[in-house]
Amino acid sequence: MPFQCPDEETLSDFLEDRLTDKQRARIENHLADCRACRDQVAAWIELVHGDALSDAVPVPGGVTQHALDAVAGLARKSTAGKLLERTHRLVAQGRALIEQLVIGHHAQPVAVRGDRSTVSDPVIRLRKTFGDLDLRIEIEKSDANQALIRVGYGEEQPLAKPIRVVLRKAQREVASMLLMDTPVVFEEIPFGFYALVFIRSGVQLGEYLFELTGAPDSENKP
Amino acid sequence: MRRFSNLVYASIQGVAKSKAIMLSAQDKDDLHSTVFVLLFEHRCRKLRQFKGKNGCTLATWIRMIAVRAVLDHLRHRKDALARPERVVSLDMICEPAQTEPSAMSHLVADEQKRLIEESLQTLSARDQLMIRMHCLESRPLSQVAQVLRLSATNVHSVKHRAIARLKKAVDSRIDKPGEEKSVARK
Repeated sequence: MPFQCPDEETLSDFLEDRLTDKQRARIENHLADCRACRDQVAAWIELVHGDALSDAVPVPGGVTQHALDAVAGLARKSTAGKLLERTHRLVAQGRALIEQLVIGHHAQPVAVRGDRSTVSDPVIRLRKTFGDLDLRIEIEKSDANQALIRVGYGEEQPLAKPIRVVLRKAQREVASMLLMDTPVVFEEIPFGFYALVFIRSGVQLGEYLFELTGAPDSENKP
Repeated sequence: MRRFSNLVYASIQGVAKSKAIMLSAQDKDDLHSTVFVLLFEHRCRKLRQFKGKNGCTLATWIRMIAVRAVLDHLRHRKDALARPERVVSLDMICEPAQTEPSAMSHLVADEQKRLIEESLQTLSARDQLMIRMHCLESRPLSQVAQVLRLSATNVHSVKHRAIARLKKAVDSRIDKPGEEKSVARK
């Protein structure tokens, strides 16, 4: 029955005579067939019982520091890797939700569930629902590279508490307004990826991700 | 890490010296980092393998890890890792192979190598270890004694007995073709 190479601890136990006769015989059988393990055994014996270390020099300080940096880099890479993975996932989700929202001379209708409007002008109108919150979002190109975003309630209903509407870009807050009786307007918003976040009493009700971009022949392609 | 840094660095130097291979300062630095990265990567997966259940110390275990890492590194290099197995004639098997094979040995080298290998397989693991390590890989007898847990005086007799058994095994394989010929002649 083939026996894979023993781990370092087993090999150490073999060399320092801590195995049972049966375990020892197994290792000897393996060594008879495995050149790599014989090399390792011989090298260890040379280190411990030979003169291989007779002229060894102490480890330079820089070498230890390099190893410490390398190990520290493992932790950073792990954290950064997770962050990057999460960012990619959020961006992918955002893209799937947006479904290529385009503003410009060639405005296209946005396929959003519940949308009652068909866009034929360089204006996008859509409806978003988060729980009991019914919103109307209007995005209108105001300049070659800018747009205007208007957010209001979808139905005439008195709300107990106002809603804070936060416009974010890359997790950074661009502007924030309180939605009450009249719609809030974000003006002169440059093209790019954004998120509209809706908060009531400190609790986030929902988020709408979108991209502001020019027409296909525009210079401001993402 | 600081506690075992010197141990790892010394092990790297020692293994390279035992293999008569020169490592540059950069190589030693890289190998040193490699050992610690191996221990700590994937949430210290390797480090968590250490149990010490039989009394093995962490230092011994780390030294073995360092030895394995250096040997793996040297194995991947183009220059020879270890002294290659020598192809020797049966007549020279009694002593460690220190001389170059004769021209005649070259001619029959492949056949003898095959014959020896097949015959070795019939021996016990301990006999095989003795022959492979000392006769074929030219390792000192003291190392073989360490591996087989033999005393300095006993190792010589064990060696000679192993060689005798190998010769007997080889002879029995050689005799068979001879017997066939004599039958054919009859």
